Amino acid sequence: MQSILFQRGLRIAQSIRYRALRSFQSILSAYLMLMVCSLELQAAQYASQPHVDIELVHGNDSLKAGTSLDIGILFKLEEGWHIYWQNPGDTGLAPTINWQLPQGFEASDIQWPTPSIFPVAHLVNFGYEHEVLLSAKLRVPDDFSDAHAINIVADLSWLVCKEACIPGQATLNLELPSVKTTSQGQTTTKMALFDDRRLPRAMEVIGGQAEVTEGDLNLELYAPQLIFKDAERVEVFVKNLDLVKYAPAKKIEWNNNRLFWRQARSEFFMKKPDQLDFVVVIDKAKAYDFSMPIE
Amino acid sequence: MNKFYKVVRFFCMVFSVLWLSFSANAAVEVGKPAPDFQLVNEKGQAVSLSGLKGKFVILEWTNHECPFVKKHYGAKNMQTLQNKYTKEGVVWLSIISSAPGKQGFVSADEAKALSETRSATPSHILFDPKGEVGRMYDAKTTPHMYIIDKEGVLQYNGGIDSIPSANPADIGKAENYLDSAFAELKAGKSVSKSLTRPYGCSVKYAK
Repeated sequence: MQSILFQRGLRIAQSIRYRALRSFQSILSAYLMLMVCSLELQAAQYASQPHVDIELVHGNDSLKAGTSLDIGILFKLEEGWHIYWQNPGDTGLAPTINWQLPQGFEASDIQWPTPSIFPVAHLVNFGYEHEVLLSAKLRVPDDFSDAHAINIVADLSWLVCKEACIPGQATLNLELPSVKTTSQGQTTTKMALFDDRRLPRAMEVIGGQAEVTEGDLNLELYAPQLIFKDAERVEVFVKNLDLVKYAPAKKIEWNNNRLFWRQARSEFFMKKPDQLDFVVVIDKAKAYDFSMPIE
Repeated sequence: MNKFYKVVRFFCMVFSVLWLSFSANAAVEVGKPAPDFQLVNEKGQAVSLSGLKGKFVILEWTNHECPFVKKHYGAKNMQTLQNKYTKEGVVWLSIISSAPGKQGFVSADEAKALSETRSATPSHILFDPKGEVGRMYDAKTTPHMYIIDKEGVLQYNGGIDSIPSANPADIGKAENYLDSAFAELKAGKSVSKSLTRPYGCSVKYAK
């Protein structure tokens, strides 16, 4: 008798446990679905891919007609991995951003932060490690009504490499708040990223010349300030593709406001460009953006 | 002339001779003879470029794990090109300059198995683990393509096609530079796009 009662009790306990388990399961799955749905909404601004996390961010807190707003893609890279500068060097591919913007809005070209050098055996690449913000200026049309928020979409592609390379692609979107709507919770930390950007400073050239000979590019530059005085290390990064080799330069000398740089012509030199666009980095700390016509 | 100047003159001569010989071994140049080399293939046989005179030769630098190589092999683009050109009597050399332990380095048996599974039909797979031939040709990426004509002159150096990406969907939209070059070579014309920037993963050279 006792054993029958016990067995029935056991069965009742089991069925209660079974029903509890079932409702627990449905609650759990409902919760998970909610999480996934909200994740999807959040993930549109942010994506996690092999060796890199990317996020679409903005600077100023509101859209105003006739002004510019900082927008950008923040890349956070796994230790040891890098992405590329606008001129990736011997190999690699520069990241690309295709903006899809509402009517009347325009995005500038990517403003490329100062690159670093990544050698691979005797080959040389230029790019970024750890964290980099590729930003642009978003021009708000003069007739923007301020009444509503704006959605922007960024279609990205990149190549992230360590020894091996992994191509990546993502589409991110972001709602930019206008004066009337509240901020979407873009933290001040993200906006401060735009202040921390290591963008080369545009500087004019007051003398010198860039000349392409049969074997070399000879660059002589006079800057309007004594930027080379007491400099210990000077690096030149040429933006033009297929112009020069990327191994260490044939000759480099500097003093006060003068730089002389000779580099071998690229193996893939095909046509002399009209203009040389380049970045000069001094002591890995100060970077300047220059343009000169080519003789 | 005093001894000092004689010594200086001697060293200048030695230096300039060395300098000249070094320059002579400088990177390949379209329109000039392609440098000769000899490497071992997947069957253990020695294959030399000079032994192939009288035929067109295509050099394909490769690394089966590189996403750009996978782009072309995955879409069967590389195999289609290999089939087409080897049927026309062109010798297709797939060259692996990956150092031991680096991505793309394979044994002869692994290389044969890869050809099987990928239905690849190069005339030979050549192993260049020290990277000597790669450096001689200044091969930078995988893929990186070269075309050598029947007289042994380099006629093309560069990328496989005109859209540098890892996306197979771009293959059909791109201009294939091998096809363009061969069309002109067969018509007895010189190659108009004989030099293009190659794209891909860096060749995994020994340091």
